[in-house]
Amino acid sequence: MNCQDALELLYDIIDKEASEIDAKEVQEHLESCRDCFKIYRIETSVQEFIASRIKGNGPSPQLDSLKDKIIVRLDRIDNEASPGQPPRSFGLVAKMLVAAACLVILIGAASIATDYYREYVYYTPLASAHHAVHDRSWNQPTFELSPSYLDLDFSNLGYEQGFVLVNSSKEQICGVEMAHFVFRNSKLTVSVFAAPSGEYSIPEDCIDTQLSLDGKTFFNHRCHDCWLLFHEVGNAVIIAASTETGFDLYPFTPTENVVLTSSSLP
Amino acid sequence: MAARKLNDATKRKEFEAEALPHMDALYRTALRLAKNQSDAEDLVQEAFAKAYRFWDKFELGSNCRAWLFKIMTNIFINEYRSKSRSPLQANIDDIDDNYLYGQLAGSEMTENPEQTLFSKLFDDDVKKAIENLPDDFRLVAVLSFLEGFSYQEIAEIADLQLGTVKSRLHRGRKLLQKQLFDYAVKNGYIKEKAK
Repeated sequence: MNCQDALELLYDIIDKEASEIDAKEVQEHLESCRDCFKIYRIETSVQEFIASRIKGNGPSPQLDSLKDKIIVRLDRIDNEASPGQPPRSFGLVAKMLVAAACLVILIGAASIATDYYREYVYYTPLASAHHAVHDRSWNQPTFELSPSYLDLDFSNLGYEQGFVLVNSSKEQICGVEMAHFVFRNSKLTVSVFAAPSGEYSIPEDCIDTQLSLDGKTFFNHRCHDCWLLFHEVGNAVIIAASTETGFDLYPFTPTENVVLTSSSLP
Repeated sequence: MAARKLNDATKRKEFEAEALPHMDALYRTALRLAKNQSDAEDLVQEAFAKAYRFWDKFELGSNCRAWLFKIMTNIFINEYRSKSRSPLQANIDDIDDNYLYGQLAGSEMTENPEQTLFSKLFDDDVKKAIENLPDDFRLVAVLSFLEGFSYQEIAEIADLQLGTVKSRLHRGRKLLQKQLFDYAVKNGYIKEKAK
């Protein structure tokens, strides 16, 4: 093993993630290489130092009162769940703006359990995936996704607002392999997810928030601070996501008129 | 995702036995994530309330601690994460690998320069350095350094690819080291390497 190999494994070793074989080879290298040994020594002690310091001094006095508060919350949940009590509506947003038109959307008051369930299973992973790309700077676009993934062209979405496609990749989201396209202009990042409609279906309870525009039907959802717009086109489910709630996602909904060419993605 | 059938009393009893004992760990992580006591308490309470509502979905015998951290991480990402970009973030790529080594190896010190540095730094300095990390890096750093989760567990908890966990952890370390070193130089604990 040479120095470069040994240093590449530095943090795997420190975090105890390296294989036994690697660990043994690194150990042998360190016995004969003073420079690497020093780096390992310093990095290891920095790590131990940081880990010991952030743990702080024993349990905090607030913990008992926090436990009491949690018990009260659990009691409240138990009471809500008892039969005969009407379910409380869980803060869903009841109005939204799309394009220039102001449309009022009726959201049915679903039960609390269903709300939590769908937040957790259908929406949160999409919002998280968008958050994960939102803060990144995209000086060097990388395109990992084969353009033939879906029979649709995504490269021109949001063009009029100055958006360009800066990245695309395949990700496992909501248990389905989805294409994730990232668009950016000078201020904002928008994610567009696409999945074959046979594999991902728009959650049924989304139908509460249905609206139609230019012959297309959309379903909207606000997941905490992330705005999601669902629709179906051709053989695909398309989901646009933005953290800017006052911003119009409509330009990120491809139509059948946009035809894929295999060269449309670099 | 098959839900288990539970009556209310069993559910409550199971939850108090399996989930509540993890409160201390969730709280100390919440403190590092939310940066203040009141938000940290809210975060932990929200996590337990959500976990309780979903308790019939939890597979008894699987890793309850990781499951609770996943729920809390989700809430943190969606509701507490600050939208503003940290000023630190822009400079990460300028920091060399093994930053601290480069600095310490050149400083005018004895055999174990890092010991001199550590003896001068206080808990609060380290905590402040952690809190200054951008949210994405702070999350993986806290899950790894404070809670000792493996890369794979962190990937599942934070819904990230394994490679992303490793690179964020790496960058988080570089940022931490730089902050601690700069802090020590500023306070005269050690001398900066001559340029």
